[in-house]
Amino acid sequence: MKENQNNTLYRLIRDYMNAVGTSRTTVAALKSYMEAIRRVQCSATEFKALILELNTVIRNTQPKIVSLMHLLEMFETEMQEHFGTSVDETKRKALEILSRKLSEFEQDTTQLSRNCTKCVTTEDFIIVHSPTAYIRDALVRAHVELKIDFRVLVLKQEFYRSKDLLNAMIQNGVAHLLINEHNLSHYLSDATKLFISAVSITADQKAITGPGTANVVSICHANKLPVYLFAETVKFSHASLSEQQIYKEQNHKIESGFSFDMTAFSHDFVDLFMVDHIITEEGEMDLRHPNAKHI
Amino acid sequence: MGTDALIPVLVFVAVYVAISFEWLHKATAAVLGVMTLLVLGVIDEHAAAKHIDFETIMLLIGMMGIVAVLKKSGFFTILTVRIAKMTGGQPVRILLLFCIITAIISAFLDNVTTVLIMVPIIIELTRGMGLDPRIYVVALAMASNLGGTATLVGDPPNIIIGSKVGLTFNQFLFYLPIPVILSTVVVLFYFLLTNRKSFKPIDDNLTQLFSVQLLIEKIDMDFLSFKLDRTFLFKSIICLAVALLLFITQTITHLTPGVVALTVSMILFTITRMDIEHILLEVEWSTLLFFAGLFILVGAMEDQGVIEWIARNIFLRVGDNPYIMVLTVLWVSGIASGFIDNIPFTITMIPIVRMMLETNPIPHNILWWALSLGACLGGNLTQIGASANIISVAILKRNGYDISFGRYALLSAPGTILSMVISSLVLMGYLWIFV
Repeated sequence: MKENQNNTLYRLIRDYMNAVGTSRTTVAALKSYMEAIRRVQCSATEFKALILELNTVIRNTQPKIVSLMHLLEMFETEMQEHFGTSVDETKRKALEILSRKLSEFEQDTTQLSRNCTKCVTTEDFIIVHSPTAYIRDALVRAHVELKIDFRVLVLKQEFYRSKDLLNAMIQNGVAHLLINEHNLSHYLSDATKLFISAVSITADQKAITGPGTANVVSICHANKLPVYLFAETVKFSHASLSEQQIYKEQNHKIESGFSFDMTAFSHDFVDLFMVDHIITEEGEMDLRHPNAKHI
Repeated sequence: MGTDALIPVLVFVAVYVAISFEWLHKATAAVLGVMTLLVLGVIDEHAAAKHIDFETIMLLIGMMGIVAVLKKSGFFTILTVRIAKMTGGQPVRILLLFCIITAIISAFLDNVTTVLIMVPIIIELTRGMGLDPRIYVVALAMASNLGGTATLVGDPPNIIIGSKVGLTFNQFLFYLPIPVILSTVVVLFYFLLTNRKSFKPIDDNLTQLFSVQLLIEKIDMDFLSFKLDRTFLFKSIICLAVALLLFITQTITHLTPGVVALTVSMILFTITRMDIEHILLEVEWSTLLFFAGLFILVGAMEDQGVIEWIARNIFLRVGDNPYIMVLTVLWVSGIASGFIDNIPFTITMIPIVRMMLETNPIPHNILWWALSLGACLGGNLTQIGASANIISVAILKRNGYDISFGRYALLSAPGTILSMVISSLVLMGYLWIFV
């Protein structure tokens, strides 16, 4: 695949992540991977080369989707012993492994959502930024199933994503308030905690997050509001921040008759020292050694 | 034709020039022309009103209303997402499925609405696959114009010919689909043949297959993010089906297409409890005003004998050979419609064709089919030939894909000429059979 086609794919993945979050993008990507395997027409030897080529392309997304990368690394390792057989058999095995990985990841996400629910307590006024599906589901469950009396402060960002959360709040009768991200200061005295999610967590103690999250975390941290970061363990990267390939673009813009160059990053990063709780599907983690053990 | 005819001719030419060079909005130009004639006393307001073909105006309002409700129902969005999924990201399937379905929809609904709905999704799909959307969009606009040619309600020239001449929906349906289907097949085949590299299958490319699957998932998510009201959708489709049924049974019910369309649209507004103010905003009033203005301008020229003069000195000079008459009307209409708006052209040509038929009658309305095919298919010649082309080019530009007049013509003109040749052959076949 040519470079511009790869760049088109990376843009598509970024758009997808901005719209639905990393976890759902990982799920969609795994499903698309499986469908691509079903449809591809090639010989057994070509199949191995095609898998390796696609995995290389996925490893180079901007930013890196660590969860997807890790799942595909495990898939590649498991596949090694099956590459010698016929193409149909290799495809069948590949689909079986991917299906299992997908199911495991979905279970992790469900468990993470349950753990997120445990962080909601009565009288909470929770600030929500960059919400992924599991935070949204957790808030709904806390209200509908556990009947916890709390409120949600939704910070408006990409409206597609905020809309998803708002819809869930409205349909399930969860008390909430929608405000512009830059009006947060008016609510800091009432808010009790901040919930965020992440694309990945790096080896040098940074969380790659949606745009705008770093500012919100900084404000909350400065005001001593506890910050909760939710992420599946598969999102923990062995690489540092500099290797996450956060996408940077420079665009020429014209607004109100004024012409200028604009630099923008696709994602933010947050120092983990500003995060009070890291919650994974396995429970809360030791902040100092997120890769080492759970507490 | 006396010297009195000079003013309406000058006004008409001025309106044509203003529209062609886009100096004025076409509705403004037409109504300004009418007002000039009224102020100069060439025509009075009662005579002017009599020239307006209200059957055409009713049909247009009715169909615009039905389309507006269908748009709100999410019908088109569901349809386009389904097509996108059905293509499986195969370039050939993208071209064929989108173009064929566009042609079918355009046969019954407004072409501009069809391309407004289809073009964004085809750009999203092809761009996401790293393909150049321009070829697909030009083919889609051509398919829309081709499909619109097949029925009485598909394209404005047909609506005008149908109501002014009194031709029925079924008469259009009997004679026009054959050249239209043949032309569509040939045009699509031409696109596939001349752009083979762009339509290469992707079945052996895992990375591209992955991209396509992810893209289709995203399109599904982006375009179907609204909540569908099934009752609303059901009512809209039923009303459209009833309208089409009444068009087809016109000879039994004796209800003209204008009456049918406007009645059905009012029933649809009532049963869906649509906010009428809101729906009326979707009706293209400027287009209706443009139609009304042109009817008056051409009517004024008819009153002064200008049309008769043109007919006698240009078109009647071609002789009485029906083959030459049909081919002249077809090709003159086709070439003219490629460069000037086919609506004023059709309105001007109707009295001329009528006079040609008075002198040399040709049975089975074959000369009218020549005018219809020429005016509608000729619109495919250039990017300014039809409203669907103009809108498609504008959507391409909004998405960062410029297409020059020359590049568009390079893609569209050969296909248009092929479709005109096919139409010529079919019309000659009709003459051979019926005359």
